[in-house]
Amino acid sequence: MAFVDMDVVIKAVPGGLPFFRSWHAVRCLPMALEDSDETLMLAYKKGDATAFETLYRRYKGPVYRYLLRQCRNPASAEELFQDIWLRIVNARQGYTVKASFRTWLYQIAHHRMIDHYRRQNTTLPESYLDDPGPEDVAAADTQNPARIVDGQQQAAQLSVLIDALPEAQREAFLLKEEAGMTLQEIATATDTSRETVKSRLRYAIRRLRDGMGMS
Amino acid sequence: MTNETDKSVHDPRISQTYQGLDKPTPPAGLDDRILAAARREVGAGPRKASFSRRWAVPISAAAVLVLSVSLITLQYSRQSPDERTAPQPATVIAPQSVPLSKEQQTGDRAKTEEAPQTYRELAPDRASQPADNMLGEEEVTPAVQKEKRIAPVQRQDAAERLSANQQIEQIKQLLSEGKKKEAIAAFESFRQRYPDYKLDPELKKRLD
Repeated sequence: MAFVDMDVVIKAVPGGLPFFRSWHAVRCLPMALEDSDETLMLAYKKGDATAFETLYRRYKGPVYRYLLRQCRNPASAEELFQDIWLRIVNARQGYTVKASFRTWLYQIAHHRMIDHYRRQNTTLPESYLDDPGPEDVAAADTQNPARIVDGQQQAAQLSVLIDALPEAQREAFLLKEEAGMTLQEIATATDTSRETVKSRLRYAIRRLRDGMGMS
Repeated sequence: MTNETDKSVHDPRISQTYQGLDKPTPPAGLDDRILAAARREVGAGPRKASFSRRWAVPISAAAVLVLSVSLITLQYSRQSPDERTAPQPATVIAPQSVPLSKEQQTGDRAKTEEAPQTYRELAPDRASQPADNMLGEEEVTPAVQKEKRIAPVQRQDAAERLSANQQIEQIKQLLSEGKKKEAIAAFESFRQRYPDYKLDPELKKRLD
C-alpha cells in the first residue's frame, strides 16, 4: 500500500478538510503517544514482556551494527549482542532511571567490547590508551584516492575506511552515526571525557574525509 | 555546550554516505532466543527470591494438610466403636413396637406381665444390645443423644402406643383377677385418653 502525503491531500480537497485533518491526527496519535525507552524498561520491570519487545526492536539494528562494525566478526558480534541483551533482561529488577536507556545500553555494549578485546589480545587496543592530539590528527596518514563518483563505490570505500580506523575512533564514530548519540552521551557510554570523544571523532572524520577524497 | 555540528566532528557528506551502507540485522534465531529469555524472565517472577518467599506457599499448604489430617484422626479416635457403626434411629424404634404387638395378638400374658412400666423399661431389645450393656442404663452415650436428637417425635408416638397397650394389659389383668369395677373405671379413663383406640371385641364383651 502506497502512503499518501496527507498534507497534499488536505490542501487539494478543501471540502474534505475536517475529515482529513481528523484522520491525520488519529494516524499520528501513536507516534505522539509512543513510549519513551525508560517508560518501556520500567514497564518491563513490572512484568510487561511486550514493552521489552518494543525496546528490543527499536535498538536491535543499531546495536548489532555497532558490534558488527566494531569487532568485524559476525560470530563474535552475535555472541556479544546476545550477552548484552541478556544483561538488560537480568538487570530489569534493579532498573532505575538514572540516565537515558540508550546511554545505559551502549555503556553495557562498550564494556562488553572492552572485555572482548581483552579476551582476544589480553590488552586494550592502543587507540583507547593514547588519544590523538590535534597534531596527530593533522599528521594522520591520509590517502589521496581518485575521486569516487558512484554512490555504491563511495559506500564501499567508506566501509573499508571505517574498518581501518583505530578501535576507539571507530567506536566514537559508530556511536555518533549509528546510535545517534551526542558527544556527552558517547562520553558517558564509553567512560571518558567529552573532550576525548571530540578528539577521537575529529580524528575519525579527518581520516574518512581524506580517504574519500572529500578534504 | 559546544557546537555539535562542528565540521571537525561532523561531516554531512560522510553521514549521508554512512546511511547508505548496508544495514545488517541480527539473525531471526537470535531475536527469538533473546525475546524468549525476556519472556521467561517475566514469567519466572522475581529472581533470587529468598528461601522463605520461595517455600512460603508449599509449607503453608503442607501445614494445613497435616493439621486437617490430625484433627480428623483425633475426632475419629474419640468416637466410640458403636457410634461409628450407629444404626439409623428408625431401626432402633421399630423392634420396640413389633414384639409388643405380637404379644398382644397372641395373648402371651406371661411376657406382658413382665413388661416394664416405663418406656425406657419397655425397650427390651435395646437392653440386649451389647454396647448398651457395656455402657449401663444411666450413662448417656453420644449414640443415645444422637438418637434422641434425631427422632424425638417418633419416640413419643411409640411411647404413647406402648402406654395404651400397657393400660389395656392392666385392664385385662384386673378382669382376670375379677376386679371388674376397677377394670371398668380404668377403661373409662383409658377411653378418655385414647378415644380412637380399636378395642379387642373380646375385651369389650368382658367389660360390658
